[in-house]
Amino acid sequence: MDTIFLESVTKRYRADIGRTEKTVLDNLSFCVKEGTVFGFLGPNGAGKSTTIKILLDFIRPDSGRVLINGVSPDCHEVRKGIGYMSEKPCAYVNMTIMELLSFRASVTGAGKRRGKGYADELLEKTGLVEHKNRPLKKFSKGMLQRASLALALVHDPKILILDEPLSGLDPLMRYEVIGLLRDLKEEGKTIFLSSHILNDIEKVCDEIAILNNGRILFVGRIDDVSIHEGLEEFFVKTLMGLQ
Amino acid sequence: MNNIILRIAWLSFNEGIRQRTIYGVSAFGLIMAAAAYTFIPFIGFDVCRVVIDFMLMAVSAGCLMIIFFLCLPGLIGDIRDQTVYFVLSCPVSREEYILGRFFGFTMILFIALVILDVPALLMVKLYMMKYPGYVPLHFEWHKLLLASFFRFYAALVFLSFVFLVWSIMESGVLVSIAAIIAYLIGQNINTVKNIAMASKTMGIAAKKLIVFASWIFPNLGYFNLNTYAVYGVKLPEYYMVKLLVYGLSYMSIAIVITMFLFKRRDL
Repeated sequence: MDTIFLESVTKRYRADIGRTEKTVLDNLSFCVKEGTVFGFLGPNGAGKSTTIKILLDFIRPDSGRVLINGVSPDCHEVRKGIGYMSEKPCAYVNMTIMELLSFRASVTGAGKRRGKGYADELLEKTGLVEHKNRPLKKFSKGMLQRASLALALVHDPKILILDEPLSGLDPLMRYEVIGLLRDLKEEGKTIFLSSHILNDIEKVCDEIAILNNGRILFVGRIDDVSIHEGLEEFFVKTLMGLQ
Repeated sequence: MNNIILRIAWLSFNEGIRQRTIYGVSAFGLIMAAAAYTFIPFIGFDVCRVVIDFMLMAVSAGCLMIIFFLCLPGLIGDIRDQTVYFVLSCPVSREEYILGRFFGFTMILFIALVILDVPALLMVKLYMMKYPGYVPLHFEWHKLLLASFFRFYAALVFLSFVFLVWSIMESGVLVSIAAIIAYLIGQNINTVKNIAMASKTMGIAAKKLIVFASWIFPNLGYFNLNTYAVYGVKLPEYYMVKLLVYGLSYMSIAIVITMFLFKRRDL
């Protein structure tokens, strides 16, 4: 069974005064198999974040079918198995990362299952252990990004949906996060990630999809792409319609 | 109450309490007490009644400050800054989110009520000791506390209306403007309705419109029990029950509609 399944998904943003209706996703279909690291690539405004929002039921498609582990995302229980990291780190900034981890662990039911020690372990992995009692408003962008990743992982989800997980990180932290993603892949997690940083995508992904103007231009294994040419070249050629 | 709603309420309460607004409201309470202490003696008569009225007004204004400077920006920020994603990316339904947020704000408003009540009660006590001749004839502390509680209750009713407006409108500015207008209408709708009903020159359509508005907007003037506290008039029990039932019904309907609309909204 596919972990993530989208079939003919279309999303239009309604026309405001002085604006015309915009089709953000146009008949989008793809699937992500269990245990795969799936890179979702595309230029700004391609529809990557919209797709992710649909997967998490933040917005609803106008037509089409979306399933996560065979269940529609509008069933909120499905999110028990999903860890989400947003592009713009979003959380209550007066709270500490420890409090937010504890909140997320408790509402996902992971608190008792994983124990308190796991939060410390996670903060150690993301380099935030020294800042665990500082409110998020005192965090730098990179720290917020890492906090967001820790929050996505706290309940040990089977599926990770990561929107630009590597942006805002310094090279060292990026290296560590890629290592972390590899470990998660080894653990058999399904990872769906969008990113602009194609070199990093190449290092961790099994499959990629290239999206432009709400349409899928390419879906396939990364090995098929990387053998002949670099991912960056392939990406540019695909967008320009030369592929 | 479901554990998830409690968790969200606690998160909402903690986040709100750590903002400066609650300190601002505490400072406001003290400033109002200082103003009452300094200026009310100049009135020269009925000072105890004036101080009761003045401090109850301060409680009401303080609760309103919490709504306009903490709850409303919090709700608008949830969508604008996408903090709502933090909660809704967990296995939490949108209904649970709305209820949790509402109860969290209720807890903050209650804390604000307690903070504002302390200087209010102290000031009233001080004036009663200083001017025993002006103590209202049938004054009772529980009437004062009851009047203060219903100010808080009115704030909750208004908060439910703010939730409703927020679930309909996408623009934060529009939500704020609508909330201000609703507050002004809510404070005066009862008086306007009474005048309209008594009027012989007003057309039926205009009267019906006013009656309709009195159903839509929260009737906040209804909860003003200052007269009972100031003059020590006995508060009929049926009136209190009527107020409680009206407030509870209004809040329930507003929150249910909010949940219905929010569930269908793109975030």
